[in-house]
Amino acid sequence: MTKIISDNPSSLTAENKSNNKGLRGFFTSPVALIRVSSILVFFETVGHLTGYPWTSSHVLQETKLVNSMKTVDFLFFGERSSYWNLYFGWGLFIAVLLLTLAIILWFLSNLAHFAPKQIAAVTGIISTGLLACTYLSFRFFYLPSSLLLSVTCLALLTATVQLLRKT
Amino acid sequence: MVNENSGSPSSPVSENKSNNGGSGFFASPVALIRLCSILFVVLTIGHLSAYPWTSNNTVKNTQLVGTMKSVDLVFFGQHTSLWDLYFGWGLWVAALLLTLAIILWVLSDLARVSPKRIGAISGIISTTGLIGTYFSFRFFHIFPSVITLLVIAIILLTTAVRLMRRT
Repeated sequence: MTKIISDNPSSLTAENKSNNKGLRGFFTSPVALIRVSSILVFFETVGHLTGYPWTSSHVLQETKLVNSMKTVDFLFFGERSSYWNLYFGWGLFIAVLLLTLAIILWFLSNLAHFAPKQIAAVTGIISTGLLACTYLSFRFFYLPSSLLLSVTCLALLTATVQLLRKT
Repeated sequence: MVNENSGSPSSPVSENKSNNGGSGFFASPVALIRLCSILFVVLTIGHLSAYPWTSNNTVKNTQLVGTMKSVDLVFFGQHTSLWDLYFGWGLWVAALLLTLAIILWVLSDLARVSPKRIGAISGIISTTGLIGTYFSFRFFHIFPSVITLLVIAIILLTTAVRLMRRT
């Protein structure tokens, strides 16, 4: 096998530069930004699931409250459920919805070259949806979650602007 | 009115064929994905119709909500309450469902451009719908939401299979 090595030292520097540019270019490209967002949403899902079952059995007051939530009926259009069922079910459902969003984002990154305009619309929508989630997280949940979501929002917004400029 | 195409004996046949184009559209992956998008909006509206997800008609309910608001829940050093989580998740589910609905609507346009990838995304959302059906049946006990999620899952699965076969 023959290995081709350039004799000219300046060509090596140019090669390095173009490699660096290419690498930097990739990491700031819409594809990479959408994939980073996908990973961040996945982290959000994992973070959400670390709180499972979203209550503590060590504090007596909480245990009593959870028992009450399980026993008190929640009536909706004649259907009977309990506050605990809604709380626990939503907790799980949110994890599934977040994971779905993470997977969709990963798939969308592959479509960014084919249809930048449409993908920009989708990333814009997801960014808006996550902005609402960021506010809710800040208002009702935890600071780390809202920080993670706001970073995801920014990454998606940047990807959206870049994709729209392409069209 | 005279139809310009009516001179040819075969024109009634072709007219019938073009009329079938209407039914063809309604059974097309684009239309099916859009139908699921509408069903997700219906689901979001149904979910929000129970806002703030309490039934204040009994003393037990009011007392329970009061306790949920007052008992402190500590998670990773941050303070919140079970009520904040419960109420916040209620809103979060609505935001995520609406985001999914809009994503589906926008992505339906791409079904012709990239059937394989849109088929994969449809399959993923179909799985989410199926898991949602189980959660709805197991935890929420709200029959219309079980049915809606199941219909979404079946339609999207059919669409995914059809789109995958095209490639």
